[in-house]
Amino acid sequence: MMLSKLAMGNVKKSFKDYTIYFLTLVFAVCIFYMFNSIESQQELMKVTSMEHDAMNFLSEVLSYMSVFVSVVLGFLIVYANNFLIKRRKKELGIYMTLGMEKRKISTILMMETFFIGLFALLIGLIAGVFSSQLMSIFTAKMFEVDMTDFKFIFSIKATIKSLLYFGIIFSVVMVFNVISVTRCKLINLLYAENKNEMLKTKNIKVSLILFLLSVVSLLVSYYLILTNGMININIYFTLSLIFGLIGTFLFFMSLSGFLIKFAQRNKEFYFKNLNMFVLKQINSKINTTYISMSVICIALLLSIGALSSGMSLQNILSKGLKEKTPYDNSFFNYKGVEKDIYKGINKIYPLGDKVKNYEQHNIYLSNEKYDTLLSPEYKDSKYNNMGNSKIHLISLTDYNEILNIQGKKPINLEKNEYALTCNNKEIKKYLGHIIDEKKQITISNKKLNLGINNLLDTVFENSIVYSNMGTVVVNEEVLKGLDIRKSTLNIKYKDLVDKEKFDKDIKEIFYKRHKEINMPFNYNVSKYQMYLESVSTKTLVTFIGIYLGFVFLVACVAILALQQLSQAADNKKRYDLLKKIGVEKSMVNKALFTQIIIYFLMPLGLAIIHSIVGLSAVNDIIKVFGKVDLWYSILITVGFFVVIYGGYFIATYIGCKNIILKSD
Amino acid sequence: MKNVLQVENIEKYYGNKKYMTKALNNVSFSVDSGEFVGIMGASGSGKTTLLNCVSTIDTVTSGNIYIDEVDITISKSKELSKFRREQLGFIFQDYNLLDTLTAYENIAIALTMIKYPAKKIDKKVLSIAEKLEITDVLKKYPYQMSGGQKQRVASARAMVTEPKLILADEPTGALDSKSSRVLLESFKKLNIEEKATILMVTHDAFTASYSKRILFLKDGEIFTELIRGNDTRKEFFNRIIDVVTLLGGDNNDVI
Repeated sequence: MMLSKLAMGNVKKSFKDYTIYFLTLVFAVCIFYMFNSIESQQELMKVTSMEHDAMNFLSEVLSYMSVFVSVVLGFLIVYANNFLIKRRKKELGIYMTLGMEKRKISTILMMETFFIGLFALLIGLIAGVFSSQLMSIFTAKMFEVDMTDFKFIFSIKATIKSLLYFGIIFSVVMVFNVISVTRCKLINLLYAENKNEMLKTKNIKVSLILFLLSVVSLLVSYYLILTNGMININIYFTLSLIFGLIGTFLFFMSLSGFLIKFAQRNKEFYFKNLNMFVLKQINSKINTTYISMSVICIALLLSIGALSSGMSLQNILSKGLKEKTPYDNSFFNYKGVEKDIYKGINKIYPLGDKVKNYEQHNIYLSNEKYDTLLSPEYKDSKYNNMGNSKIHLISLTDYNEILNIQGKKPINLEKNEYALTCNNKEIKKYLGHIIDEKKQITISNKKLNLGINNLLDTVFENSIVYSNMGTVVVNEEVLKGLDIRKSTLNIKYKDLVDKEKFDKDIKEIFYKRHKEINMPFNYNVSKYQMYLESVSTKTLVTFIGIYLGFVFLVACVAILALQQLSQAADNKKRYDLLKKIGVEKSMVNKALFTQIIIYFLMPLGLAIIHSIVGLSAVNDIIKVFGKVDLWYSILITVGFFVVIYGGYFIATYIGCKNIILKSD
Repeated sequence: MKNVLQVENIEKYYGNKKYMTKALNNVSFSVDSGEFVGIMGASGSGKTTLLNCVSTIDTVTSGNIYIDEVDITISKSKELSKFRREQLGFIFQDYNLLDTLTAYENIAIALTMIKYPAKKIDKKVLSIAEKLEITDVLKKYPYQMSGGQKQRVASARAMVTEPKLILADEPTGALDSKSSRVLLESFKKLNIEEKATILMVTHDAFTASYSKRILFLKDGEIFTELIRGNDTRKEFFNRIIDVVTLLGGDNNDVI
């Protein structure tokens, strides 16, 4: 009874001192619950069976992620807890001098962890249940489904899972506490405060050399990743990672020494106000915390990467999709012979009552190659092997059919004329010169002049990518005797067609007959199907991105905050002294502010530089799907960071200020 | 001689009406420029309270304190900070050096606070360091120095700004006798050569014997005053011991 009273008292006390720790725990539980409750959020949405499957898949993937997340959170909580225990050495020492057994002290600590864990779980779950109502709006928007009438949802599964995972984490914390109590000696506990931390002062020259080394290895790393890109996972990629890691590590090891050396050169700066003091404050701590600084920097990089790529992929997938799927369904035949796909399907599966209008066209292969069309710069791009493939051709009649079904005006070409069409933004760059110079081109040994004075942006079929990579429109005569590469059927449904059922039927036909010789098509791309897939992909990527990004971010910033807060007691002596010898309160506040903000910004700064390089390397991958403005996703990521990082920073500053300015 | 410090009828009470402790009761005295004054008394006699009031770290309940003809009891907190860093120098029993700074920087920070021109700082620090014989420890950190060295660095920090008044609170309290002697010799030197005005609180008769005048506090009141005059330090020391004995049996910790 006595013990639990003590423990409760301590919890109350530490709640006041370590609000940030407690809030982080609550936050962690809340996020954990939110992302595990997606399955039950479906109750609020009108979903089809396919969407239902997609959501279940998402929640399954997220539950695997949760294992990883709980490991990260576990590390955070154990680390933070060790920090707090260290702060309380004297208190534990007093218990021991009073004759309390180590076993009993362990019991007190265990009870404390239990109470704190219990409170955090309770409040976190309540917060999680409420936030998940809000999150369901976001989820519905991501899946592009409508919401049903509001009702309160509560996920028992997510609750049990949160209780279980965090229960395990707190048990681990208890074990660590018991270990640290049994290992400690009374003398060390009582005099922990007096033990002066030996200030490791590194030789400035060594710092300088290390700093140069770190800059060099970071540059090497950046160079490697930018030239190699992120697609090819090879030795250069690995080397880039290794150099990056070493560079980051050395950077934090030597940064403060380098900065001080730099500042000392400028006496006006060094001897101004409290600059000298602030610099030395940072220097004294970073010598012992550079490892955690490096780890935080890298975790922040992961967080930025996860958040911004999650955001941007979502953007790409939904933005390009409309452009890339102008039809309800496209069927393709690669057998090289002109075939009437519509008739073929109609025989097996009557289309008359379903199809509003349709269009069929053939793509021919010219004898000439793309090399003759593209401007030479293409050789340095990732399209460098396009030059060897044969130029795609389409007849004027077929092309006008396409324009017709898309509701556009037909074009006209004379016998010796051609037009050029392309919807791939990257390749357009290499074709532009033909239009600008009105080039005469040779197709099937016939010289043709440019008939239409611009590059026609036409989508030929439903496709995941911008598939029209440059097609020449010509009159029928030119095509005589050339091979057909593929033929395509594009259809638009009548208004009341059940899209889901149509896709199902086609799929069935395909599975049954795809080996038959007279099978009218090789594959099809359904708009509905594509939307669904892209929606589930983008949701998956976005949710994982946000989930991991958030957790990493919170973990990093919580550690930074706790480090600063736990140092505040040491710093109090120094700031008190400054006040005694006549430093104004405002100046002390400013020094404290500067110290904390530099501490917070150091790992973030390098992480931002890393991620700028990383994102420009990733951008190459994203470009294949379509050029997209990364600004939107970056802006959102920045928003998240400002709110969370800024929030923690302000809380830390206020917390430290209270500890330091508190007069005793 | 100019009057640097003028203390008039100050009182300091702690606690509430029911349980009131009078830490200082109607204390008045003055210190002239260039004086080296000691304040002695047993623990609980109010000497540290007196020093805290004079140093503006604490406030008085009633009475006035004038430093250089400015009444510091009615000044605002911001003015007091300015006043502290420009007019006063502090030397504490436990040195109070910033452990993150080197000796040099610990001295220089006093100058940076009064916005002393950065280019002149170096010269100023080196000159005071030479007087206190700490030139060879300037690059060291506090944890690399002995107690005596630390206290001399702290003294250098207090004196480098050439304050009107230097307040020393048990400066030898944590030092061995040899270090105490070295420190006090340098106080004497600075008092004579630099005309530094020093107000030193101590309960140690040996330390007090270096000053030129001693005020004895007992139960918050001034009990008596001793002036060294032309006595040698040894003779002065013996007179101090006499007073201490007279002060009562509760003073067992004089030597």
